[in-house]
Formats: sequence, structure tokens, C-alpha cells
Amino acid sequence: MNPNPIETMSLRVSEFNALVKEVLEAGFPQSLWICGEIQGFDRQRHKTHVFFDLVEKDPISHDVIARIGAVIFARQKPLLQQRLRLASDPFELKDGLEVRFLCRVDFYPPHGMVRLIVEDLDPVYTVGQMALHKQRLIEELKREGVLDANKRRPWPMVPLSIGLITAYDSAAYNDFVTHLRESGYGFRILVRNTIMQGRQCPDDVVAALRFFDRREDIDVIVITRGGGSLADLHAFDNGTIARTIAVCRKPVVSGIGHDINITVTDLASHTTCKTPTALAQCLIDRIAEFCLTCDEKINCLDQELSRYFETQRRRLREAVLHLDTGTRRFLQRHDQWLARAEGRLQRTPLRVLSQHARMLQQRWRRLNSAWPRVLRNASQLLEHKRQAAVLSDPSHWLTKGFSITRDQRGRLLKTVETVSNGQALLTQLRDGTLISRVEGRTRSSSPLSEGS
Amino acid sequence: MAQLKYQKAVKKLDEIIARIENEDIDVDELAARVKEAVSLIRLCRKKIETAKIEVQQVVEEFAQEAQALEDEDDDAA
Repeated sequence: MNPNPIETMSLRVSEFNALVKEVLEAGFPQSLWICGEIQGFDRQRHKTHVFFDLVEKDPISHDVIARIGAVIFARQKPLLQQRLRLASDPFELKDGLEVRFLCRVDFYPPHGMVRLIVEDLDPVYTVGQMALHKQRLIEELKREGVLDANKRRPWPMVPLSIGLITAYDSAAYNDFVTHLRESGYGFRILVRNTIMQGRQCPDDVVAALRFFDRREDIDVIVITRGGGSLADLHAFDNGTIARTIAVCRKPVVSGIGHDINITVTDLASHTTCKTPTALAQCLIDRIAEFCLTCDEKINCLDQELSRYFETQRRRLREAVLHLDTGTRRFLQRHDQWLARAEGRLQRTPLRVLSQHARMLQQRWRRLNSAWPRVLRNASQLLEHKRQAAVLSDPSHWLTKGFSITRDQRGRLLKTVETVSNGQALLTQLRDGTLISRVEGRTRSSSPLSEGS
Repeated sequence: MAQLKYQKAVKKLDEIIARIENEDIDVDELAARVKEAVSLIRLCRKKIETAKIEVQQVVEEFAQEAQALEDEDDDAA
């Protein structure tokens, strides 16, 4: 079989890789500066030779659009560490960091991979990138209104109950807690042990913020940690933490790093202090202020009350005085009235009694004059009766010369009409009776009527 | 008779006197009524006398009490 012409043109892999290496070395005769973001570094950091990737991300989507392997050999580490130490803001290499490395392009035939061998680094670039990243984030958060949201939360009147976000038993923790304890106020501190640096830091801080914000017994949330490298503190230049702080209902007070390091977290907080101790002092000041206000109010109240009681006491004294004079006057009047009543009581009943006695005397006189009159009148009446009786007796009249004439049958003659001539008449006189005969008669011109 | 109230006694007395004054009375009855009137007057007088004595007694007692009180006030003052 004739060999295939393509087969005669083919290369073995080793030959190809050797060619590639040759081409690459010709193409990149010198080392060059390459910028990118570190990835896969943290897991490797303690190995002798540290293999990792440099990537470039899309500025908007953050998707990786380019990747290249890189290695820091053990012999380069001292130089790199010196560079990092001497930087204006010392930091450490770690994932997510934007770096500028001086690299030699290398192709390692057994792996068939292009790799950058790191020879040097430019710390100024990283610091600048971090600052740039931070500046962009700040501007974005400002636009969203995130940085002011928590500042609008009112201070609790007495922020004694504190939700503390820090690494338990760290220097920051001890400074903060000790200072609060020394104040003598009754602070109540609830600590949530939180990762305060590295990649997990933002998520842990966010979880802690949410944890404390939900709790009703927490007045104020404190985030604090001590100073560290710029890259350590870089974890707090984080949009998620800032946005979480913005939606917290409670004021978030932060003290992260020292002096010049103002993180995005600090900017988003309600109040920020430079150190954990300053942060504690800030809270102590709030309590002291409250106590002072209380003292002032108590003083005011005290004065008000004193004034009020003084007024009331004066009124009471006046009232007592009035009551006293009023009562005296009242009693005086009643004394006078009683004295008059007494006098009247002494005189009036006796006067009434003697009046009655006089009335009785009058009645006695009337009785004494009335009864003889009754008897006198009775006897007078009797006398009249007697006289009438005397007058009505005919014999009385016979003695006076009058006589009574009757006919033979004894009937009284009162008229001449019934008498006829020759008729015998009996005429009674005082001492006897005359018997006579009628010889004639004459009529009176004016006869007396009967019964008169 | 002793139970008779003063006012009633006086009223009765007035009636009797009126009858006698008006001579609206029998001679047979006269002595009895006059006797009754006199005993009514006697009763009323007795009541007045008794009342007078009691009043005088009470008033005198009270006057003494009042005097004692005044003396006390004077002592206190």
C-alpha cells in the first residue's frame, strides 16, 4: 500500500506541540503586562506552585468572555509578596481581584496548554481598580437611593438592645463590648458570629442583617470589624449588603476598618464610626443624651410640681382663713340669733299663758254675769205668766164691776139679736146672780167685733 | 275630765257660756252647766299654772346652763 499523501504530511502531537511552542515563543519574545480577574486562586494559595485562571468578564452581564491559565511558581512568591506589602494599600491576592501581571507566555507540551507564568505584578493597578469598582458602585447605589434609606430611620429613644454583627471574640468584638460594659448602662448585646472577610463575608453579613431586623427585641444593628488590608475590607464594598441595609427597618450603625477606610457598607449605614470603640461611644452618647433629657424633664417636672403645690398650699391656706372667719361670723350670727331666741323663749310662753289666764278670767266674768240673767229672765217670764193668768180669770173682772149674762140654758150672750122680749136672763155678779126679763133692746151704732 | 285638752276645754266652755248668754238653756240645766263651766275654768287655770311652772323651771335651768357655758368661754379666752 502506498502511503496516503496526507499521512506523509502529518505531524505527531509532540512535533505539533513543539511547533506551537516555537511559534508562540517567536510571537511573544518578551514578557508582557496582562490585566484580568483572578479565579480559582483561593483553593490553591497554600500549594508550592499556585495554578489559577485569569478571566475577563463582560462589563454588563459579568459573563466570562475570555480565560487563560496562569501560574505563580514558588521562586516568584517572595518578590510578589514584597510588592503587595509595599503597596500604598497592602492587599493579598485572592479570587475576584483585578490584577495586572507581568507574564511570560508559555506552552507546556505535555498538557498542550498555553499558560501565563507570572513574573511580577503592579499593585497600583489593583488598588486603582478596586477604587474604580467602589466608585462605580457608590454612584449606582446613590442613583438608586440606597445610601440614604437607612439614614431616614429614626434613632430608637433608648438604643440599649443591640444586634452585633462581628466575628465573635475578635479584637473589634472585645473593644466594642468592653467599652459598652464600662459605660455602666444596661446594654443588652446579642452577637451573631459572622464571617467578616473573604468571599463568604457579604452573604453572611446579609443573613445577619436580616436575622436582626426581624427580631422585635433589637433596637439597633451594629456591624463592626477591625482594620485590615484593602482587599479584606473590599468585601464590604458590596451592593447586596448596602441594599439590605437600605431595607432594614432598624438603624444600622457601622464601624469597619480604621480611619481612612470608608466602605460602601459604611456609606449605606445610618451612622458610621471609625472604630469599634467609637461606635460603642456613639451608642453610649445616645443613652447619655436620653438620660440628660430625662433629667431635664424631671427637673422641669419637679419645678412645675413645686410651683403647683405651692399654689395649692397658698389656696388651701386662704381657704382655711376664709373658712375660719366665715365660720366665726356664722357662729356669731347664730349666737346672736340664739340669744334673741333665748330671750323670746323666756318671755313668750309666760306671756301666752297669762293671755290665756286673762281670757279665762273674761270667760269667768261672762259666765258670772250670764247665769243670773238667765234666772232673772226666767222669773220675769214667770211673773208675766202669772199676771196673764190673773187677767184671764173672769172672777177678776166681776170684782172690777163687770158681769156675765147667760140665757136660761146657760149660754153666754154676746149679741142682742138672739134675745127676744120677755125672755129670762141670768146675770152673774161678784157676789151672786140676778134673774131678769127682757123688756126691750137697742142696737149699738158701732158694735164691737167678736173676740176683741 | 283631767284628760281633756286645754283647747277642747276652752271650746266647750265657750259653748256653755254662749248658751247661757243667749239664754238658750233650761233653768233645770243651768246649775249643772254653770257647775261644769266653773270646773272647766278651774281645769284650764290649773293647766296654765302647771305650764307656767314648768316653763319657768326649764327656762331657769337653761339660763343657768348658758351662764355656765359663757363662764367657760370666758375662762377659755
